[in-house]
Amino acid sequence: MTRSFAAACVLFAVAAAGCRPAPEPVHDRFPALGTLIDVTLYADDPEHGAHALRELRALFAEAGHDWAAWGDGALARYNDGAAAADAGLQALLDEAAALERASGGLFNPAIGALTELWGFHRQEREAGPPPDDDAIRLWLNGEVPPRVDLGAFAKGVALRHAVSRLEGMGVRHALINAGGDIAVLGDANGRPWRIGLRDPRGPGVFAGVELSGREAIVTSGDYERAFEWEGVRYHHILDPRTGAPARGTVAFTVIHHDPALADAAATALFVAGDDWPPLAQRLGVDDAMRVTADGHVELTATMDARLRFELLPRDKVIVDAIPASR
Amino acid sequence: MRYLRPADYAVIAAATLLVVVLAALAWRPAVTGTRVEIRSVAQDTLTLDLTVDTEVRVRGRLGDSVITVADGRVRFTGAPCRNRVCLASGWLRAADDFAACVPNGVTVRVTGPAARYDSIHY
Repeated sequence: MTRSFAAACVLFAVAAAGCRPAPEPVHDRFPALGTLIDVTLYADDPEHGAHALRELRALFAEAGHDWAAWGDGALARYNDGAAAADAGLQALLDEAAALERASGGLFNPAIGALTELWGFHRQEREAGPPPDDDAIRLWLNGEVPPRVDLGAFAKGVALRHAVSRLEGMGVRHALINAGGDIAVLGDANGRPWRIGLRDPRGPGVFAGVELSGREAIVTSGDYERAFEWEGVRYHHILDPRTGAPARGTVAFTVIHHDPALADAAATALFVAGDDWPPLAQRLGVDDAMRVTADGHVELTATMDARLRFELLPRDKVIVDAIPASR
Repeated sequence: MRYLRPADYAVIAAATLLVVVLAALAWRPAVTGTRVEIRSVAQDTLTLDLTVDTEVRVRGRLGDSVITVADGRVRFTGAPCRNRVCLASGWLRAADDFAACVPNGVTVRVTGPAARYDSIHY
């Protein structure tokens, strides 16, 4: 009898748990870091959720101000020689320098003066021709004062801080979309977060992927910031070896547990072009995909296993089949 | 044709059937959109019925983006930005089709009867 009663209690408890209403997600959207930040999170109660969203707004606003290469924030003043880097900024600069070394210089945080030369430091580039070869050569020769630009890194770092802040506040499930780059925490109320990867050359979804735990997906693409001059298109991802936009790749996607590493790696691997596989290995990136300028897809076996393609690529090559150096 | 034997015809038929079955399994038709969700850094989210032709002005960071719904499709038709990447995105019709005016902070996403994705990565 006692055993039957205990079993009934367990059954009742399970049934009662099943009757609990599913937690409702809370959302927020705000501008920061020169883009649109979109947040979805599951919190214990609405007040907890609202508090977490306010914290994220403050975090992204601070990052956008402090880490902008131009303006009056901490990095801009450091660049202008008006102030030394404080401990937080110095840690960021040290991490960026380590990634520069690991990427063989293809992720270059001291690219600010070149970015400015091309006019990509403004949200809206002034109409006009690309910089002349002499100006680019001066930069390549190191004859232009260096300027740190963390544009290929800051969003990832901010995402990492945001996820950590949420975890610290007891939020276990969240998705943050920062201008297309996404970091997730936990899952979407019992199932993985479902992410659609936009087609780099069209409006549709190219492939779907599921993320969960602490993961981030970052793409460096040539499609959002670019200009045309005399029939030639110039995009904003600059190759520090040539001083010009990197050619041969339209999009490079990385999935990694650290959004900051994913951000820097996506840029470096975009710039690396055909030689990306050994660099991905050096950077510790397992899940990587390149879409080439002629529509071919090259990806690691682990990335291939995660993606569900909605648009069949013209050609798909698993990275193991790509020689380390071509 | 006299070189083909009955078993050859069977192999050809089986191969054809296999191709048809595999194509059917691999092909996922795009889900037609029913609504469009317009998000902006400067105003609340706007949700429109994709079956009702209309034109809306959406305030963004730089100015107004103009978005047109017509014949079950939606697109950017006006933008305050210089590069006009959003205009080049063209018409969006299928669920999860997506276009963005990054400088102006305005995004347009077609949604279907059931959301297939929690977020679009771009």
